[in-house]
Amino acid sequence: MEQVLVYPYSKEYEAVIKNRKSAEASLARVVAPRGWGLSGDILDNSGERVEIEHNFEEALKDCTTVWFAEDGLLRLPMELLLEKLVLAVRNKKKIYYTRYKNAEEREIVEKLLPPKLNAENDYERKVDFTVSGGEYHTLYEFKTPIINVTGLSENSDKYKMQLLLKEEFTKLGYKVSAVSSRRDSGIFGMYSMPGFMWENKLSVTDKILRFNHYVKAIEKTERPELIILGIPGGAFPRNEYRHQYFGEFHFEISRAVLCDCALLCSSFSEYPVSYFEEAEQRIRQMYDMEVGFHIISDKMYDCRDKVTADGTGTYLSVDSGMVSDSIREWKKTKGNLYDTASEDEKRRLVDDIINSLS
Amino acid sequence: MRSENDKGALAEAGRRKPFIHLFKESFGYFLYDVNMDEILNIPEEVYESLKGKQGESHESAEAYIRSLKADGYLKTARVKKSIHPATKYVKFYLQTKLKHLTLQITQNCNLRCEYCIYSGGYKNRTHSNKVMSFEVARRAIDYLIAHSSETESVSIGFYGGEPLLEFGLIKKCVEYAKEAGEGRDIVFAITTNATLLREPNIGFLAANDFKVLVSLDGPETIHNKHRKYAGGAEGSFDALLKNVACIKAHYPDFFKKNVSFNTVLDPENDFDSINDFVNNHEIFRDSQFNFSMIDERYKDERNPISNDFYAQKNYELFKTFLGRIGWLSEPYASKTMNSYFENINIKKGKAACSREQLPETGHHGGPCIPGVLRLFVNADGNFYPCERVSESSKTTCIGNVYTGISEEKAVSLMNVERVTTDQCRECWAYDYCTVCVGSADNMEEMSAEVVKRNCPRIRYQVEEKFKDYCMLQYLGFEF
Repeated sequence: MEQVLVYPYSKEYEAVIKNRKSAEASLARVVAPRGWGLSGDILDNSGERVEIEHNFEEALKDCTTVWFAEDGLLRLPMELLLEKLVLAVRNKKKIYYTRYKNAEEREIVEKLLPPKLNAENDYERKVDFTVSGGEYHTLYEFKTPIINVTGLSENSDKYKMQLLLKEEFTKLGYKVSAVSSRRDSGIFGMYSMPGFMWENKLSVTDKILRFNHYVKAIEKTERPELIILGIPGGAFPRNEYRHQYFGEFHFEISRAVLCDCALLCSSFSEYPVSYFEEAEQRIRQMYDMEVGFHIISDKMYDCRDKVTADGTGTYLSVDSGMVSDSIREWKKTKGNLYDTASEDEKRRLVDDIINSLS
Repeated sequence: MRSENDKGALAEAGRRKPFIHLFKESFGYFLYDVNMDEILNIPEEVYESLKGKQGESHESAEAYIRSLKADGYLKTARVKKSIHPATKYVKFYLQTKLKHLTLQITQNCNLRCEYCIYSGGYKNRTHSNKVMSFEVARRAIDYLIAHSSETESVSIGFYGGEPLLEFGLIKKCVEYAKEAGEGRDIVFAITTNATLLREPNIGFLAANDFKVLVSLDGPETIHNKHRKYAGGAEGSFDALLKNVACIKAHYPDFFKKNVSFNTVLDPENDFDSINDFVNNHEIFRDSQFNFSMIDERYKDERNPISNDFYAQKNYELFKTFLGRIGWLSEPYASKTMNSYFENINIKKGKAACSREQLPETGHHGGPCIPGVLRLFVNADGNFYPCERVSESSKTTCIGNVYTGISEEKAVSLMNVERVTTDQCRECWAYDYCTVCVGSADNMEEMSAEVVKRNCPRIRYQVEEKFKDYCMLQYLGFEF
């Protein structure tokens, strides 16, 4: 199995490392730039500890592949990225490059990367979904139960939930296909959100049709018993500063694929319990999705910050105990909240999803 | 003498009244509704009626008032529990959200500016030869790195005394910060009197893209009135001018983008000559200026005020307003009034935050979360919320480079309202209050007496801002 070094490690990849045993490669080492203030260990889901290291060159020795991961809140300077890339190439390591935000950077990297070291295709799941002629405008229906994983905002543990659901249902013996909300999920056996969904030149109609065909092709090829669809971005703008892409992806995906139920991830806040019903109603009205399950992440919006470069805003991590306490209170009135810090609650969530889809 | 019961009853009666503030100008009558955080233009008879005076139009006024109430205005609600909303989350903010680190590189200075908070005229330490050790600086930089993982950008500012007296230490700090901050774009900044701003200092600052804030009080006579060399009567203007001119000549791009000026306004000075200087002097006319009055905190006596100063300042503001609303034939911009103008818009940043009522638990708008937005480290390695608090006070130190920030202290400082709870909850300027520990500190503890001395001035300033806001709107200015 390939031994993978993940770089640069950021908090946005915590779920990835925690679920590393589900990956199709061994996520063996994790390196963060020294100035990002990240240190200590990450406890993965199997109970093993992974140290957050700072010495890239040292960690490189034990690895066969370097996964150049996408930036989160903190942006890796291009000079540093290229320095590490050149070092990895010089040491003949395979490169799994999944950074898409900076097109200029990607162009430079593609020129520096020898094709035989490019490992992107090793993990990327592809499916032929070309539909032409008269069938292009056909919107297909689905026979397989579909659950959407949505978020009212970014940093609400959406990806963590996608990984969790895939793992839990797979453990129960279900054949699961998943299209994640991110573009680097191949290493977990998931289809990534296709690049055309970010393509400015395509119309909304084209994106809806293509996404429908994409998921249909996955259904036909894999014949799964469950499809998990992660939706990028937030369902609604948060305020005038945090547009969260205005629910663009939610609209397109909800038009393309009718789901059987949805799991809604929310960032942490001191919500009144009425918030959950109101959120369900809004999502039902806007996207025709029935939210059956609520997850609360351990990140809350930093109310002092106004805007980040991508319009999504910054967050503040709180501890899971605080989240668990709040969920316990809310659950007294609203039963479909799940505290996934607890194994029992994970099981309850999965059982409730199965009941809902049956 | 009122008994406690009487006081309580009066307070309760006060709380039953609509929580509003009335003010008037020549062009209208206004009501600021505290619960809704909105200013309304109201008819005169309504204004009089709300003031408690019944006139001939009493009935129409009452009908108007009823319609206001139907629309949600004139609520009587006040904040019931004075707790800063971030109190519960302070621990997490302190762990990951630090943004600006200011290092007091040295307590020494080659000038002895009379209004300096270290001049001996304030309840604060005075100048000394103390220099921050590199060990302390290194620990402070490590603290910044370790506690900023959820902050998009960070900065390190060098302060004094005069930081350029320890240029070698600054270089060492920058080199260390760049190594320890691998992967971060750290912004470096320096506040300087510019008398030592010459090569090789300038080259280094330019190469590291420093933001340079130069203290410059105005034309020569005004600048030299206070900003003199230590041990003599000689002013520092000539050296400053020479050095700044040199930067502008040899590093024009750096000068344009990175160098700005801070002017301390002495209300005994001639405002017009300062204004003319900053707007028209060939070296400074295109530069950015910040303006502040001489700091009166930690002083027992207030600064004398020249009527001419305020008349001139207000006239400049008047011209700025005329320029902004398009009533002057040529565009008019005044650097001295820019920042005031930009802050008049009371709705800035609030478009998506409309409010029906004050929350039950809340805090006035004054304090920051200590040690989060900024952290000031003095030469001894002690932590303070910023460089404007007294280092000699028992109240203001929130930790040090060895032990970190005390969460308990941070919570105490940010909940400054607790010392004047009853008064604050009844104050119409609640949301706009600027009281923080620096305005509440009597050197032993946070003091209600010290806070209350500031209240009339703050309320006056807020009301003036409201009036300016209303006037601009009345004249058709769109914010």
